[in-house]
Amino acid sequence: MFYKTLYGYKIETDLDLPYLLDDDGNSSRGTVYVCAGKVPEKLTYPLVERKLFQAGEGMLRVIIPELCVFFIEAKGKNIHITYDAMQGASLRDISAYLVGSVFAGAMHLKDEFALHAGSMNIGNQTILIAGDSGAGKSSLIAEMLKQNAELVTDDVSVVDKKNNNPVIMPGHPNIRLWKDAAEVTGFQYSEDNKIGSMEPKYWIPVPQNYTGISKKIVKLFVLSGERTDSVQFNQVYGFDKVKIIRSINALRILIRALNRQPSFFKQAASLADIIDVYVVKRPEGYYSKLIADHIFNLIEMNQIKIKPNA
Amino acid sequence: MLSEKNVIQKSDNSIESTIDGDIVLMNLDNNEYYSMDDIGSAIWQMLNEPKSIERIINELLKQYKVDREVCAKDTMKFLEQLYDKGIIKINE
Repeated sequence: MFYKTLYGYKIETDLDLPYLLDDDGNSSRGTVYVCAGKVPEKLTYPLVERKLFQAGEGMLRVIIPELCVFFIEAKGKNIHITYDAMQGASLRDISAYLVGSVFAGAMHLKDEFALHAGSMNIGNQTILIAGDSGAGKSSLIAEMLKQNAELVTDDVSVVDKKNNNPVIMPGHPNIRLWKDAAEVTGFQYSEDNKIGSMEPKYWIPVPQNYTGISKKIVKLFVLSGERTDSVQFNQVYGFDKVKIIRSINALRILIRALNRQPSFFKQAASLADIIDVYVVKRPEGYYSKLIADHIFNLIEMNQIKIKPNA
Repeated sequence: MLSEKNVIQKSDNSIESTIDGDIVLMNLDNNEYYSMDDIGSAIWQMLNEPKSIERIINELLKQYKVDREVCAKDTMKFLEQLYDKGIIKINE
């Protein structure tokens, strides 16, 4: 058995999840039990049935074609995840899905506020970076880490309120990059850390850049898939901020399936009221370095603005 | 159709939040989100307790420099929208 931690949950698992940190005894949000086993063929009382997932009250069944079927069940404070690997499936790939989509689904069952966004600290402020697959989120995070930003989470940010201040629950000390993004940003990748085979990503350990402890959350940058003639940072306000936060919810489809819209609205609105939100558009090509530079400038300006008079 | 004599109030099928000073609502019946401008927000806040539309218009006239006829027409139009969406109701 392995004992790990992610987003404030303790994980007791028979599947090695080597990229997660070992549990330090401080994971108080609950325990996630992961074990191999047979999963139900279908849910008895499904609320939503899709080809690749079914959702019921407090439970989810997720199918990753040619790899694995996961059954996720919330029981009180804890979560039970059973995985049924298909023949010849790579355990490393199963662990990557488990830490990604499956864990995000489990967070919904626990009514957690989980955004499909990485988060980083710059000085004493925390920013979130979101964007569709292929929008350049991972390479932007890599560029920012090169310039001494500190990683809180690489892909999913679980936001919680502590004494009325939102905080992001700690992720793990790795980023996941496509091969070309690793090459252009200069991060070393190894075939031992490959995820998937068609268009593989690579786990890249960044322990020296990892903190896991968020500061004051100030800004969200959403990388748009829309291509423009120049790099554009468009700040949005009010109502549009909530709509954007809704659009970057991790596994958004589950919000409706699990009837979580009201709680998600409250969570999204409460975050929207305290952060600035920008939609970032760029031309075709590699602009992550330029975007990273601009984000650093924006944060620096913010820090000057809030500095008390000498 | 609403009339100025109707006493109206918020239904209990929406949740609200304030973002950057604007009120944003979620309709629990259809999960739609709505936003309100300054005047819409002012009207919405008046509906914390049942109130006649006439009284709402009179209170707006105290807050904003506007012709009564225009104010009444715009307020009715706004309230009709809320009524059609089911997020306000007539207090019988």
